[in-house]
Amino acid sequence: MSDVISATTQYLLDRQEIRDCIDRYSRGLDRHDDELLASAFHPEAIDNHGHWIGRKDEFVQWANHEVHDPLLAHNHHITTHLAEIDGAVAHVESYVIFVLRHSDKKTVRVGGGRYIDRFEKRDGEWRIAIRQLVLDWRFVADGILFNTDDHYFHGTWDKTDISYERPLGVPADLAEKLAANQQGAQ
Amino acid sequence: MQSNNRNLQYLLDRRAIEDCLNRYARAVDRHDVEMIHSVFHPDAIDNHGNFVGGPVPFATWVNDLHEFKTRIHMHNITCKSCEIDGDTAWTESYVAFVLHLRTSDRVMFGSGRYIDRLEKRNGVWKIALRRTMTDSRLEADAVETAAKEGFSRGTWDKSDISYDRPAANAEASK
Repeated sequence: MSDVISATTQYLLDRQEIRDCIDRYSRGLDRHDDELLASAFHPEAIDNHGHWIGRKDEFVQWANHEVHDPLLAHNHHITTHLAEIDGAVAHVESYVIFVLRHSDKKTVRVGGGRYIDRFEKRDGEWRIAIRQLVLDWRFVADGILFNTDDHYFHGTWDKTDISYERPLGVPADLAEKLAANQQGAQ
Repeated sequence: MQSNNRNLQYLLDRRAIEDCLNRYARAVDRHDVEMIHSVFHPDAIDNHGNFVGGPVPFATWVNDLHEFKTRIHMHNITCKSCEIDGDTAWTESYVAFVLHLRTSDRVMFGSGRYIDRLEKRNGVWKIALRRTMTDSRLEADAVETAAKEGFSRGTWDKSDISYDRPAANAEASK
């Protein structure tokens, strides 16, 4: 009985680790965090983006810097995700909707595709061994709206982005505003 | 056996945190005040653009915004990163949102992130601090949304079919 429980728990852990790796790829890309992006791949992993193919280290440079440095902002949203695990190998498909804000400050490109991956578990770690991107659709839209102030924080591509704060806190200006609001409400 | 229990607890924590982050989207999309309150601890702080405050004023602010300024809205929670340290968790969750403003014949699409500190109190994970970022916004022609092509449209109250238990078959109940 306890063997069955262990196997089931292990299966769920494997699924979680695979999904975490996929999401880590997005975060590494969207923050231009080379180390984090590289950590989604095994050392000799191959990435095939269709018009571009290469190994892990070249991919990190190409994706984080050649492709994404010229943009103003981008997010790679992972949505539908499937994984078939067979021992220490997994076949994984993850849908992606990417949003790229261009440097003309006017256009935003939105596209949808799928990452088709062979994952391998080596030394207890699930990472991508081979990745192939399939691009299914893309459109260009009017991004002028972004230039109107929405009072929201905007992200950065270094460790000043608030997502690196540990523990997450309340900055002084926000604390002041909060105190003022609470006083006003009394 | 001990490690199995530890792993199970970890997976349960991850699931509870993910459910909380997803339930937030469901709560604001259905204008469900109670459900919005339920994803935050009572002393939580939420910061959304100009707004900063606790769960009760937040629910009023966000529901008024959606009720009076939009015709349609949907918040899709996509990527998640999560680091658990005892009874505290740091999370980043991506959001892809669609808003159809009342004053516009265009649809707004935005892409951003929620950066949260969650805390487990009395066994329940809820948001203690939320800070919100927008990375992109765009507008597109909304003519298409007028054509419903027979699909059901959601509502902002408990008549929305997502509240039906068990899920009912609309055709059969006619």
